[in-house]
Amino acid sequence: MLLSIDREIFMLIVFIRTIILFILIVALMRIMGKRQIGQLQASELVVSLIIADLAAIPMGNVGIPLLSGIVPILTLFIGEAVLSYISLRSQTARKILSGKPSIIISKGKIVENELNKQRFSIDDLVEQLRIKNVSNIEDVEYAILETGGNLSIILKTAKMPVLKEDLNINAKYEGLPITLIIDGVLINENLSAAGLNINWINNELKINKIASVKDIFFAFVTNDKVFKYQLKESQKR
Amino acid sequence: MKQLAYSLIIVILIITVGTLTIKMLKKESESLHDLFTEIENSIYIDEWEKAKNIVKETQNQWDKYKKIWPMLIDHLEIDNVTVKLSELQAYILNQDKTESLSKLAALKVLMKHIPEKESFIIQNIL
Repeated sequence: MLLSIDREIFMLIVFIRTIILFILIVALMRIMGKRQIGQLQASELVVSLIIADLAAIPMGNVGIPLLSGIVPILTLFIGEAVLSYISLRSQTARKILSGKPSIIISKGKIVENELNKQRFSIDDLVEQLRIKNVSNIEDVEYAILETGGNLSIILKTAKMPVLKEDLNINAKYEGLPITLIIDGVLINENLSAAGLNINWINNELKINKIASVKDIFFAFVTNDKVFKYQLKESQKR
Repeated sequence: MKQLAYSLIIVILIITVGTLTIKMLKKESESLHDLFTEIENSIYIDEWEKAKNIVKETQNQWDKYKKIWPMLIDHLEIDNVTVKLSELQAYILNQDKTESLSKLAALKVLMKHIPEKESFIIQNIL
């Protein structure tokens, strides 16, 4: 169809095609779940890389039907959905698809075999330990290389940080603060979730001498029903 | 489970739309192929007026198909047919038998080749 396309429209076509593909990929990535972005498993990484490449071809080349880019992207999404469903259901599939975590340091000693098997160099290991604030390998009881490539470290009991529990301190329960106002907008859903109502908010505004909810930039309520807020910059002046 | 349900819907959609488009492509290219054969026969017996009429009809039909086909096949193939068809029209207008017949032969090959290229066969998959 290049014959009937003017040069000015050509750019517009690339623009629209890019928007369509962009929306499609963002939607698919959202459906694939939150796990995708942070810690990619081998199969997920492959899917992400291929999707990016597949989308780029019909984006720039208007001679190719958009469908020949969309169909393989959808197919990969289906493949990924089926694989993640299978690995959710079966332990064996999980082992095959994602592998299993490997213990790299056991009781303060580096497991050389495992290190070689995972092609993880001593430098990598020491670097990872430093990132996790561990300077001495002997302080580590276990270091486990997770399937997503992260290193988890379990310190020796003597080297673990002191907890309140160890010192017999009775800490007050803090619970979860609930956000009530963002940028001058009251979130009614959260208000009822906190077991409060509009009268309570109005009362708190009066106590704090605030004219309206609109003047508040951010406000939340703590577990023991204390109203905490920050005014908008324009209100502070 | 939600992902799996979406996947199933997409699979059904892809298979249905894929089958329908292949069928449509086949039917439309066959009808164009028949028209080209008709033109060829008219040219053989030097009925240029008839050939002119059929080529006009073919052009109209092609203009209709040209609206859907770009969504399904490589646009280069469509450009190829468009160029060859306009060349054919010019040759028929000038009653150039050799050139007209050679363009018709090329167009007929294209009409067979396009649905073949899109059809669901092992050669295309590999």
